[in-house]
Amino acid sequence: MQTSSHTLAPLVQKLSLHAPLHADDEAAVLALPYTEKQLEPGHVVVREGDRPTHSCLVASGFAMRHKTTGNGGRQIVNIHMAGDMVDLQNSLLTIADHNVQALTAMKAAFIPREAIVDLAFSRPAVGKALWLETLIEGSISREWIMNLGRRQAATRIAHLLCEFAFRLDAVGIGPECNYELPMTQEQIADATGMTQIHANRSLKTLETMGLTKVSRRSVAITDLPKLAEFGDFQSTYLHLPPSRAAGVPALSTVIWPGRIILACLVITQG
Amino acid sequence: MPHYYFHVFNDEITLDEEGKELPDLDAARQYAIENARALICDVVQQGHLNLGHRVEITDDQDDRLMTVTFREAVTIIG
Repeated sequence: MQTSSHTLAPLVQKLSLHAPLHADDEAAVLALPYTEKQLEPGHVVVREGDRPTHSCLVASGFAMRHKTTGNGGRQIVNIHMAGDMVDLQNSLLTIADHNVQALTAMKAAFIPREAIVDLAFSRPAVGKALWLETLIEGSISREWIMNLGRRQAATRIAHLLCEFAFRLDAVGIGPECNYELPMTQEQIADATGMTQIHANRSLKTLETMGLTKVSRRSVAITDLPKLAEFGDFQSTYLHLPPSRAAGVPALSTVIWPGRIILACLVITQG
Repeated sequence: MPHYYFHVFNDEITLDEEGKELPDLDAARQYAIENARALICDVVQQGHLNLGHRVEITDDQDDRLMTVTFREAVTIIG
């Protein structure tokens, strides 16, 4: 089966992370009806208050979910990457409780919500994998609350950078290194509950500590184990499968064997 | 809208390469003050504060338009 070039292949890969899907289940996922769209950065996929008819898979690129306060303050509540269903909850909930927006140029597959529900209930292995996804997303949200509520500024950003490194690695993007995750300072600030200038100053702190390397509009992690230590980062909450969750030191050896300093995660403005 | 850059001079020099579009210099000053307050909160939690630390506002040409010190960003009494 030619899954790799299929638009929904990243979804199969993501759902297979914890337990391999049977060939029939895999085929059923790939047979989901969908509409493919190329979205520009900033394109609004779902607005709070919408009544979505489809759920959106990130086939490539990045998306963000955010909520807005009454006076216009934006809090980014999650970043999504290839293989993520950015609004799986909209397959069962009738009204969108937050906004979904393309963070970068993004290939999206819009899948009718009924098709997802039918698949989940007709194929228990797929249903369980989708359920797991929502549970892990809840776990990530709990960690973000912890991060925002109880960690200092530079530590918050360090934690965020570590999370991305692990999540990118889990879907097979990280080991290639030189990974670009286009986030502006303002978006980093909105994801970590800071002001833009404060976020920039905190990035500077990480650089001064030798944990990241900041060049024009880019950040590269130079020492992931130390960044993880400073960022109070434990990967447990990501519930990665055993092969991907061997801990920070193991991750660094898996990703960069024999290499001393490498850019593993690059943030640019695109 | 004009693009302003906000460089921080506190324990480190942190240059702003991204900047922000704001309606005018008054808005830029207000933005610098809000950000200075956030920076002040951070260092106060660490137990120190230098009121001479500052945020410098520059334009696209890298010309300095205004300096906002931490002292200007807060009202201090007592």
